[in-house]
Amino acid sequence: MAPLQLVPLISLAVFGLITPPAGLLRGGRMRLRPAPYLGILGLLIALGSISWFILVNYQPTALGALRFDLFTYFFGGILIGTSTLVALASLGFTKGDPNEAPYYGLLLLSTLGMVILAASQDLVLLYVGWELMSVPTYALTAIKKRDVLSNEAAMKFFVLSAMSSALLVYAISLIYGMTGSTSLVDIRSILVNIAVSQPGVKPFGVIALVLFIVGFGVKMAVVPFHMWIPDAFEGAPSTISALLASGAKLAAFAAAFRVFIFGMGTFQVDWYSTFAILAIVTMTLGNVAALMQKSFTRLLAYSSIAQAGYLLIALAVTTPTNTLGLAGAIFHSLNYGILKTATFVAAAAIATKLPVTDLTSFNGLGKRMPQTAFGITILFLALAGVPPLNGFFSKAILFTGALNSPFSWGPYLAIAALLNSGFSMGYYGWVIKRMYLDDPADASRLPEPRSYTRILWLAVILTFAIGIYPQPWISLSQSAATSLLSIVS
Amino acid sequence: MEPLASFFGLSATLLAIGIYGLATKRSAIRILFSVELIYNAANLNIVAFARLRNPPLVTGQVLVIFSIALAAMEAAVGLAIILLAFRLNSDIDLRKMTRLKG
Repeated sequence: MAPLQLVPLISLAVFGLITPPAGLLRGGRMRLRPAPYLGILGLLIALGSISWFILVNYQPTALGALRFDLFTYFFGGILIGTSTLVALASLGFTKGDPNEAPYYGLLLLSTLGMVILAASQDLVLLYVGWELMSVPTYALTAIKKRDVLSNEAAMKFFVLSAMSSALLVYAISLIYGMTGSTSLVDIRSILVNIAVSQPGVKPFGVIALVLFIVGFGVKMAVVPFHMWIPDAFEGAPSTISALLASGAKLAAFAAAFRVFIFGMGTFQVDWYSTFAILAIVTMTLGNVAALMQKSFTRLLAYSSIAQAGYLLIALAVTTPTNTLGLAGAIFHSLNYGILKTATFVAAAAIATKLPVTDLTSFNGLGKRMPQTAFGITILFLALAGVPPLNGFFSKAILFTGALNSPFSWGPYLAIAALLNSGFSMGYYGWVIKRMYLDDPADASRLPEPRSYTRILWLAVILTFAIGIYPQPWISLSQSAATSLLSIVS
Repeated sequence: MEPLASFFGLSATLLAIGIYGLATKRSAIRILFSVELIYNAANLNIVAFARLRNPPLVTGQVLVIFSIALAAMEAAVGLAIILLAFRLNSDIDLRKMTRLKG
C-alpha cells in the first residue's frame, strides 16, 4: 500500500487522467457536465488531505526523492488552493467549450507538477516536476485554438519557457558532474568543502548557479527574463493567466528555495548580493512599468513582476541562522497566491462585458459592477500592503528579514523594498480612483457572473481573515522555513 | 586531451551554438532546434560525467533517459503550437508576432 503522504499526489494524478475521458460522457438530453466537477473534486481531495497532514498528522518524512516536511505541505496547500480557485472560476468560462474536459485535466496535471516541484529533494524529480508543470500550461495558454492572441501568447511563452527548461538541465548536468549525485541532501554535504578540496571545479559551480538563476528566473518573472510575462498574461485566457501568475510562479519559487537555500546553501560563493541586486531591479522595473500601462491585464502582469521582486528578497537574505526572510516569503506566497488569482478572476469577470485591455473602461465601474469593483479595491489595497489586510503582515516580516540579515546591504534592500511598496500604491490607487470617482461614458449596470463573484468574495474574506488574525499563519510559515533547512531521513 | 575535457568542450560548444541560435533566429522552428541543441549538450554532459567517473555511475544514464523523454514531450507540444500559428497566420516568424505589444 502506498504511504498516506502520497494521497494528494495520487488524487491529482488519477483525477487529472480520468477527467478528459469523462468529458466524452457529456451532451445528450441530460446536459451532463461531469468533467469540471470531477476536476474540482480531485483538487478538493488533495487540498483536504494536505490540510489534514498539517493540522492533525504532521511528521516530516522522506520517501526517496520526495520529501514531506512542513514546507512541502504549506506550499502544496497554496498551490492546490490557487488551482482550486482557478478551476472554480473557470466553470463559467469553459461552459460549452469543446475542450472543456482536457482543460480541467491539464489544470490538474499542471498542479501535480507544481506540488512535485515543491516536494522534490532530488534534481531528477525536480526536473520532471518542472516539465509536468510547464507543458500543460503551454497547451492551456493556447486552448482557444482560433484565437490569434491566445496563440501568440502561447508562442512567446513556449519559446522562453523551453529555453529555461533546457538551461535548467544544463545546470543540473554541471552540478551532477561536480558532485556525482542528484540528491540535494548529498549535494549539500559535498559542496561544503568542495571549494577547498577541489578548487578547479568552482567555476563550474558558478556557471551552474547562473544557469539555475536564468532557468528559474524565467518562470519566477525575474527581470531581465520577464519579457514574456505581459504578452502571455494579456493573450492567454484570464483564468489561465491567474494560474501562470500565481501557481506556476510560486512553484518555481518553491523549487528555487529548495535548490539555492537548501541544496547549494553551503557553496562558498557570494550569490546573496546577486539576488539582492536582482530583487531591487525586478521590483523597481515592475512598479515603474506598471504605472505606465494602459491595459488592465498588463498592469496586473507588471505588478506580479514587482511582487516577484519582493519574494526574491528571501533568496538574498536567508542564511542558516536567519530564516525570518524565508518565513516572510512563504507567508507572502500564501497571500500573493490568493490575491493574484483573485485579481485575474476579477479581470476575467470584467472581460465578459468590457474590454479589459483599456483602462478607460474602468471609469465608474464602482456603479456598473459594484461587487467586482469592491473586490478589486480590497485586493489591490492588500497587494500594496495596507494594514490590516494580509499583504501588510507578510511584507512586514519579509522586510524585517532583510533588516536582520547579516549582510551590510540588508537595510538598503529593506528600504528599497519599502519605497517600492509605497510607490506601487500609485497605480493601484489610480485604478481605484477610476472605478469610484471618474464618470463612465455609459453608466448602465452590467451583469456580474456568479462563478467569478463567488471567488472574489471568498478571496476578500480570506484577505480579511488572514489580515485580522495572522498569528497562526506566521508561526506556521516560520516552522515551514526552519523545516526547509533541516535534514529529514 | 583527456576524454572528459573533450566531451565537456563539445557540450559547451553545443550550448554556445544553441544560445546563439536563440538570440538571433526568427523562425520558431529554428528556435526549437536551438533549444534541442542545449538539451543534447546537457545530455552529453551528464552521460560523460557518469561514465568517466571512477567508479562509473548509473544515475546519470537514468537522468538522461528522463531528459530525452521530457524534451520530446516539450517539443511535441511546442510543434503543435507552431503548427497552429502557421494555420492562423501563414507565418512562424517570431519577430512579426506583434499583435500583443511589448
